[in-house]
Amino acid sequence: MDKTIMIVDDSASVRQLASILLHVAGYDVIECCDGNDALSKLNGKKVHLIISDVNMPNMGGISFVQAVRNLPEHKFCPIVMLSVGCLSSAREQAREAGVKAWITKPFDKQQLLDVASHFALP
Amino acid sequence: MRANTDVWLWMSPLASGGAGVAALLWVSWLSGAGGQTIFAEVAIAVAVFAALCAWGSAHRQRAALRQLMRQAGAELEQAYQALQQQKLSGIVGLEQICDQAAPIWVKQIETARGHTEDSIVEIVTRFNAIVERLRASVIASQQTTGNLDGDSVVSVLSSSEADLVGVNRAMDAALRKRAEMVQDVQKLIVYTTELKGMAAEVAEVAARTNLLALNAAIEAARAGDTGRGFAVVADEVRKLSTLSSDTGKKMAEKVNVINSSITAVIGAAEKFGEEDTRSVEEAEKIIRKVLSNFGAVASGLSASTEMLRQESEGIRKEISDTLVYLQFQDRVSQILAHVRDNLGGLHNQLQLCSAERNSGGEPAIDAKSWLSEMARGYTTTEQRSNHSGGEVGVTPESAATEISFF
Repeated sequence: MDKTIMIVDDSASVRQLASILLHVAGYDVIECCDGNDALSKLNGKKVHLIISDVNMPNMGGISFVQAVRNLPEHKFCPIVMLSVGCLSSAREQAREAGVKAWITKPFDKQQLLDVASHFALP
Repeated sequence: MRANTDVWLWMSPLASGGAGVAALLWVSWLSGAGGQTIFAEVAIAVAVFAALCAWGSAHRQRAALRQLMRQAGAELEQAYQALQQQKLSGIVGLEQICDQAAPIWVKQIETARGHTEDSIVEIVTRFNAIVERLRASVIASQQTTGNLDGDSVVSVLSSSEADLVGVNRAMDAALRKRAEMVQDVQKLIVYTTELKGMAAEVAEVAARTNLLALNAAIEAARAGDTGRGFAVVADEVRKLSTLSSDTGKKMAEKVNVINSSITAVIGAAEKFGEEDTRSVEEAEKIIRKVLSNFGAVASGLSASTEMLRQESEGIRKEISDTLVYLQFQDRVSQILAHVRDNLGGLHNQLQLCSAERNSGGEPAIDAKSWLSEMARGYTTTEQRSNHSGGEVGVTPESAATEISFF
């Protein structure tokens, strides 16, 4: 069974691009447009890795990570942030929330795949 | 009213002054002419009257000037008040423009942002479709021409060559068997030679028997009647010898015929054998040439197929890599979204100020804190640089991605 990766980003183009790259690499991908959308799609679903943007409408990335950490079935699911943001304070917030890695946009194809395989081998 | 006052102010002193000057000239003329006292008194009275008129006129003029100064002061005060009011309310019309233009700018930016986002999504979709089709082509090519690439072609050629060499060997074996058969036929010549000798011997025996029968007949004739029976026997023997001689001759003739046939067969067989050998050699050469040509074509086809496969794979990879560079849209979208939000925020702020002023208040915006609030929303280095007055910069998409593991 293919590993499942959840992409959470309000930019449709970024979601689509990451989805294509991960799908070609052998992953099943779930696309979500913000934190609320992601939480609703997480319900009862086995996800091996979550890649999330930070700045999103409705529910931002950090709040989403904190919400996921409160879900018993997804408490230990690895989460990687994918953002143009380069403020160290935001990274510190993410780290404290339980994020495992931070990728700065624009992301490199191979590095995205390396991070994905680091946390979830296809 | 103002024009009448001005005329009075200027005409009154001029009339008084003119009358005074005329009176003085008259006095001096009268004095010079040896004058008459009554006229001198009248002239003095006129001069005094003119002086009084000039004084009155000057007094009224001073009063008018004071009035004018009071009016100018009031106008100045009004202008000052208007200026103060203008300072409070900013440039006239600017607030109205901002109030009406800001929502339009917000919509325009959002429209532009939406267009680029939709277009990029469509481009990514199309590029991905191209990538998928190329991948399908490569897979189909590999499945279809799987027997033509690399080792497969060589193995097919080797197998074909082995089969054809087997055919050649079978033909060689047939030739060898034919040669063996010719050798067997050649051995028949030996037997026919022996048969020919035997036929000659039969003829020799017949000749001797004939001679013996002849002698027996002579002896039977000498014996007279007693030898008559013997003469019959001798005659029969002679006939037999004649028959034997004929048979011997026929045998020799038949052996000669057989010999000739065998010789002809052997000659033909040898001739055909040489031709067959040449044919087999020629066939082998042709087969090798055909195999060689086929091998060259197959190698070319295989190389071409491999090249096409590699090119398709290369194009697929190129497009796939190109997709990554379309991430600029996310950056542009974020910057435009911030500008949109800031314009929207400014519009709301202006509306609040307007409402406060209409209710009698004196609204004010803390520009510094407003700008600080605007800067807090920035996510890209370009936004921060632009805000702080740096050069307009663009971070290249090829900039190395930074990954931090916590």
